[in-house]
Formats: sequence, C-alpha cells, structure tokens
Amino acid sequence: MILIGEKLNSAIPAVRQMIKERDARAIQGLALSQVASGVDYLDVSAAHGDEMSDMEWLVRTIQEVTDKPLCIDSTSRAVFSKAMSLIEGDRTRVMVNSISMEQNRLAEVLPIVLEHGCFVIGLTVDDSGIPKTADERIRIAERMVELLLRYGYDLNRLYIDPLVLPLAVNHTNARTFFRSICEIRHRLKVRIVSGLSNISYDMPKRRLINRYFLVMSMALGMDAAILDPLDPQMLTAIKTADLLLGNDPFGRHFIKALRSGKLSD
Amino acid sequence: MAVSTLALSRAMAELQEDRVLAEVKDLLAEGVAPLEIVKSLQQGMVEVGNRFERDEYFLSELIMAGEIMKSTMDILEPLLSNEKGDYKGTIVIGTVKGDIHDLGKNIVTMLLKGSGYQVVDLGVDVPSDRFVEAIKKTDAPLVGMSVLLTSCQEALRDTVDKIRAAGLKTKVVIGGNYIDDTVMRFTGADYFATTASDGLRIAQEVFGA
Repeated sequence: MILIGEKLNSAIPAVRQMIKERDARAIQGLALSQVASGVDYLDVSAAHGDEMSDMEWLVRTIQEVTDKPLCIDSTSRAVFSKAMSLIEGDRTRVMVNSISMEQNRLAEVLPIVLEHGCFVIGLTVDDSGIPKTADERIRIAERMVELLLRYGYDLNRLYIDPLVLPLAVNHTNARTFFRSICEIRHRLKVRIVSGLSNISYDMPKRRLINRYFLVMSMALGMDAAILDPLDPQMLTAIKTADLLLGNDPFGRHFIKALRSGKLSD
Repeated sequence: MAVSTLALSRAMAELQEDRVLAEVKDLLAEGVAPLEIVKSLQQGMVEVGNRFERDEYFLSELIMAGEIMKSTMDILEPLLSNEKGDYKGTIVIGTVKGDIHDLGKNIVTMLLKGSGYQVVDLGVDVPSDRFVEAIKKTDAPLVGMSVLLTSCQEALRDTVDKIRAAGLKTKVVIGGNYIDDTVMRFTGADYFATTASDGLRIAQEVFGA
C-alpha cells in the first residue's frame, strides 16, 4: 500500500498558521513525523493564502530535512512550475495532484506532467461535475487513459481517484466507490488512489468509518491512499490489511511495526 | 572468525536478505573458502534459532531465515566439494503414516539444514517401509519422525519396530507437540522432542557435532 501523508496542507488551521509564520521547525517536524510513520510521499498544499510564495517556501523547507518524494497539490500551472524548478534530484519521482477531465484543469496541469514525466493523480470529474454513478466514473477514467496514451504517457504512473462522495448524502456512495475501484482496475489496468475521508463527512465516528472504508477498499484493490499517517489505528489497519492481502512477505512490515510500538489493538 | 564473515553471520541473524547475498558474493570475490562462508551463515542461523526459542522471533521469521539460507546455498552449493566433511551427518526425517501435518517437520528440517546437517525429507504420510528404505540407502545414524495426531502413536511404534526388525542401529527421535517420555517408551524410540531446538540438540548429541 502506497501512503501519501496529508498533513502538510494549508487547509488545516494549525498548518496554515505555521506557514503564515514561516515556522520552518514546525513544518519540518510535521514532515519528519510522517516520514517516520512510513509514508511514501508527502502531500504539499498551499492553496489557502499566497499559494506561490507559500509553496516555494514549503518545498524548500521540507527538502532541507527529507528526500521523500513530494506530492504537489495545486490547480495552478505557475505554482507547479515553481515547485518543479525547486525539486532537488529526480523530478520524475514527484507526484502531481491532480488532473481531471475538466478542460481548464487539463490545460493548466497536464503540460507539467508531460514535461517532467512525473506520477499523476487523475480525478474522475469532467466539466459536468462529479458523477453520481460508477459507470460515469469509469467512462471518465477511460477518456483520461485514452488521452494520456495519445501523449505517450506511461500508464504505470497514473493513479485514478474515483472521487468518494459522502455517505451522509446517499447511503450507496461507498458501494459506488467500491464498484468503481473494481471496474477501473479490471478494464484499464491502472492504479487507484483515494482521499477516503470524504466518505464520513458529517457522520459520527468518522475515524471508525474511514478505517473500515480503507480496509475494504484495499481488499478490492486500491493501491494508494492520501491520509493522516499519524493516526495509529489507521496505520494499524493498513499494516494488518497488507499482511492479510499477501502484500507483506514473511510479515516483515507487520512485525517491524509491532516492534516499534506502532500497532494498536 | 574474520571480521568480514562476522558481518555475514550478523546480517543472517538480522534477516537482512539483500545484505546477506551481497556479503556472500563479496566474500567469494575476496577468495574466502565457500565452506567458511557456509559456516558463518550457519552461525547466523543458530542465532535465529535461539531468538525463535526465546520468543523474540516469530515463526514467519524462522521461515524467512530458511529462505535466505536456501538462496545462499543456490550460490554456494555448486562451489562446495563433494567431501563428506561438508556435512556434519545425514538425518532422515518424515511425518508418519496417517498424519499429513508438516509444519513442525519443516521447521526442524530448516534448523538442521541451517546447522550443517544433510536432511533427507520424506514428506508426510510416510509408510514405515519408506523410512526403512531411506535409512538403508543413506546409512543415516539418526531418523526423525514427526507427528501431530495422537491417533498415530501406533504408526510410530510400527515404524520403530520395522526399523529394528531390519537390523538397523539408527537412533530414532520422535517429535511432536504432545510427545513425552511415556509416548517415547510406548513407541520404543530413543529420544523425543517437542520443539525444533530440542531436535537440534539431540542431533548434536548423536553426531557429537
């Protein structure tokens, strides 16, 4: 399971404050604690504020303490260009979050992805909005794959996010997501990523719902998730699900997590 | 032992597979004798067994150690000479007729192989004749019979009887979770073991190595 740590996000009030105050030590601490939890990517979002200068400061500040690949989270071509120019080392390791089949999003972000050959998250949304059904999601994913193929993009680097809608709005929204995972993987042979937590919006016991939702999605073939890696129960669920799914030879990762006190009952 | 082979046995004990394979190749390139390399791997393997015994390692880690050992032996075996001295001795092992449980047998087999014995594994549900045949063929001084089911005590006794009837002086160790002194006497075996490391200790006693 590929983990994308979500903490470095200006949508979180405490983080927004750190960015505003240019508190490098706090930001670096947040990066390092996520790395220690075993994330594969650090998502970085600076949408709330002066995005350009905040993103520039964040990318520099984070790279001072870790070489974990970044998942740059923006909708602006200029912000991506700036961030990419500051990446130290191999730019193809970067993940771009995200493209969709919305025309203006494609125009802004796709050129960055193609220029640098980075990984990309592709949202199943187009100019008619977030689809209600699994079939519509599958069709958007198909169109995106066709488009990327035309540009010769390596589809192994694409992660489709079949956008989760809240259960509170429609009780079958999780089921719609599950069907989308299965069909998109089966038909298009691409990887699946999700932000997950939207599922529990305005429900009680959100962490509980998120955790079970994650495990069920993993069982159906989800490859990656954007989440809070500092949540010990969530991390425990991931390690245990990976063990059960046969992704953890000899239980090495599970046992390692146990020995470092990271598994909670 | 040289510093470099020490690093190898440590890497083996820590189950660092990539490191173990790299060290083996480095040592071979430096001209260290394959037998020396095998010995240091065995030391690491013994440490793995000790940690398992102390409940510090889990079963999956013991199995992983066996897999690492196997991949190193793929490199080393062709380089070892055929001298008998390469092995401490030969042991025939199998799960007795009527029982198909192989976990205990496989664990002790791994530990014995890792410690330098040649193990002839007859598999599960092994009829007494096949034990006799294998002992005759290999001239093994020790035979191990594994069992989990209590209903297979007769099969144990029958096999020991057949071995004795064939005039073979081979020592017999029976192993299994429920085995004790009473079962041992009932079956006529020479030793009994309830853990894999019991089995290894008995082998060391029989072979004096």
